[in-house]
Amino acid sequence: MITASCKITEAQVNGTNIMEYQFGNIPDADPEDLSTIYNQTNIQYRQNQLRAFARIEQFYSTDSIKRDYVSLSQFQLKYSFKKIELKVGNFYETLGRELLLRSFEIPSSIQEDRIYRVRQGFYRDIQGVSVNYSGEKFRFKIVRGKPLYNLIPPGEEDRRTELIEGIQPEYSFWDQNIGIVAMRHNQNGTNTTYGSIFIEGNLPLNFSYYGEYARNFSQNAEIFNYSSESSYGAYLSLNYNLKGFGGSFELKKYQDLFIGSGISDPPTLVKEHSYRLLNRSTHVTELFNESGYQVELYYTFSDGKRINLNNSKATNKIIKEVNFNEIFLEYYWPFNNGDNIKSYFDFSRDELKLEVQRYAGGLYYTHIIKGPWSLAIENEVQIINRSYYPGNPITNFYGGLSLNKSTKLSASLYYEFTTDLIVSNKPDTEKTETERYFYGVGFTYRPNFRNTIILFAGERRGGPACISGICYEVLDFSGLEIRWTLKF
Amino acid sequence: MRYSAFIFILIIIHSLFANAQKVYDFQLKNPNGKTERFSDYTGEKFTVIDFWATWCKPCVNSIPKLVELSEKYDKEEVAFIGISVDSPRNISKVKPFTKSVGINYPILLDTKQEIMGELNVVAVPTLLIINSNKEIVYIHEGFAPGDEDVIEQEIKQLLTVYE
Repeated sequence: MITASCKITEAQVNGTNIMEYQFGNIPDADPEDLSTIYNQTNIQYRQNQLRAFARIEQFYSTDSIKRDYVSLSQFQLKYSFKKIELKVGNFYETLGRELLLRSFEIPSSIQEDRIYRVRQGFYRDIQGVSVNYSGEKFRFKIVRGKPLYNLIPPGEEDRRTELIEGIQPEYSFWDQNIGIVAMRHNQNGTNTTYGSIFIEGNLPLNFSYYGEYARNFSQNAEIFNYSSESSYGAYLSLNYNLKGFGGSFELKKYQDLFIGSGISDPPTLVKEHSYRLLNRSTHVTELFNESGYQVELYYTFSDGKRINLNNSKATNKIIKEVNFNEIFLEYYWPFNNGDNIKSYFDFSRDELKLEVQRYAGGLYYTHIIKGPWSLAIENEVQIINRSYYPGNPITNFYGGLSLNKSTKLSASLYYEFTTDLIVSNKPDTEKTETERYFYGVGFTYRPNFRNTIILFAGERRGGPACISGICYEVLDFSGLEIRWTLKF
Repeated sequence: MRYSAFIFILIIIHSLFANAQKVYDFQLKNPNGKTERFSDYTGEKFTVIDFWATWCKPCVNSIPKLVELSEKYDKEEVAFIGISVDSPRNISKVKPFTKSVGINYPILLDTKQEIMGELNVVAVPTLLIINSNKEIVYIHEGFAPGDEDVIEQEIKQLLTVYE
């Protein structure tokens, strides 16, 4: 019926469905044989410039504490007319470079926290109205709505207790763009007014820049008041490129810029790693007081070899001054026959976590066996010295081996090892477990472009993780997990 | 439960008979801050869209291969577009990175990952091939060594059918 209507009216219905089944639990948690299923259906209807979208989420669990839900968690009507775009319902919007407002979605990611033990889509949207105008020189966006507090799962109350109203006009001239942001935040009947000004553009000699200054005007109306009671944020980036070389330099200063339940999300200025051990050891921005910089340099040689160097520093003045420093060097080396090696070295120091020295190194090798068949070997090791810790130094190791047939089929073995007592020592035993091992197997199968099936069995180490700038806690897991993604 | 079973069956039926998804004429900013339309960059025969991010490991491997592939075709006929889904916090790295790896096709910024969602892209990298009717005729998710040959074969096959 849907297909028939598509042909007659030129309208389209399509979407995605993500279903994830888990059998197992957090290691050593009761019951061991917990069975849960999460399903997310995204349906969109489009006819010319009109789009209607709905998201239905469902969760079922055999846990004795029932938190099952079926929820129409998003609905959107969007209409585009020439240079104007109107959205009603649930949408994502940012103001400036997110110093004051960020809403986001991490596509296909599923979130679960230790308190509710409920899985849900990983997004933080706004429910309300948004208008965007995109002219050649003049642009603006207006937004009014309630941001989602995504730590509370569907089916629970008080998920949207804040209201934000914002406007952002921008004007372009001589390859430069200047704009202002005015935003009012209401929580529990209290209004707070924020504002920011930003400028970006291109400069001669392949330079480009972005600068933004934001502050809370309800607290203190003086624009340049930097007393310890003030709430403000400043961000500056300068970029350069020439042939194979590219570089960016960024500066930040944030003070008391945590808005409401955390709707602001200014640039972190810390390297976002996709390497497993480094991603887990990342620095999370402390918006009550943080300053610092990040430098990132890329160079690509004519034969495809590539170097990436990153250095960042963050300083927090909480009770006393604590620093985070990191230097990261990555080298990518492709061979003539398609094989490649990727290696990295990382040194960091995180005084907030009392980690005075943190060394990490990794070697990834991909070998083409024949045609679409390839073999990938991944190894990472990390040594951490903590200032307070009796079990120093701590060693973390990750190893992976995968056999791939293009991206259609993949079979992998994972292995992790740690001497970190926080992870290895079980609280309900008398002896001290000083080591812990994690083993897992994974399969990915894509029979066609509509379907992807991913299977994991074994024990998976959790911990902090960051993706697309969002940091969150991944729970340990022991058991079987099957995920099926369908595009329809 | 009955309600969810109904939706699930509907999806399965629809997925079996669904037409190719059409790409509407969306607009996004480029790294210089100018708003561009998708239709400004489409090829007469096919358009290849690559969704990527600076933090995505396989994307960094796939991009040089796509640059090589894009140079084999007349951009009037087979056009390539890169869409970065980096969030505003990483956006300052996009321009230096694209210049460093020598991307020679247009780059657009989907910082809110809105177009990614509307085109049902659930992972990066994802490559879409769109025909002259603006229909998605091929989707390639992820990147492993040798995938550049798979994608090239697909383009060749589509061009043969087109001609």
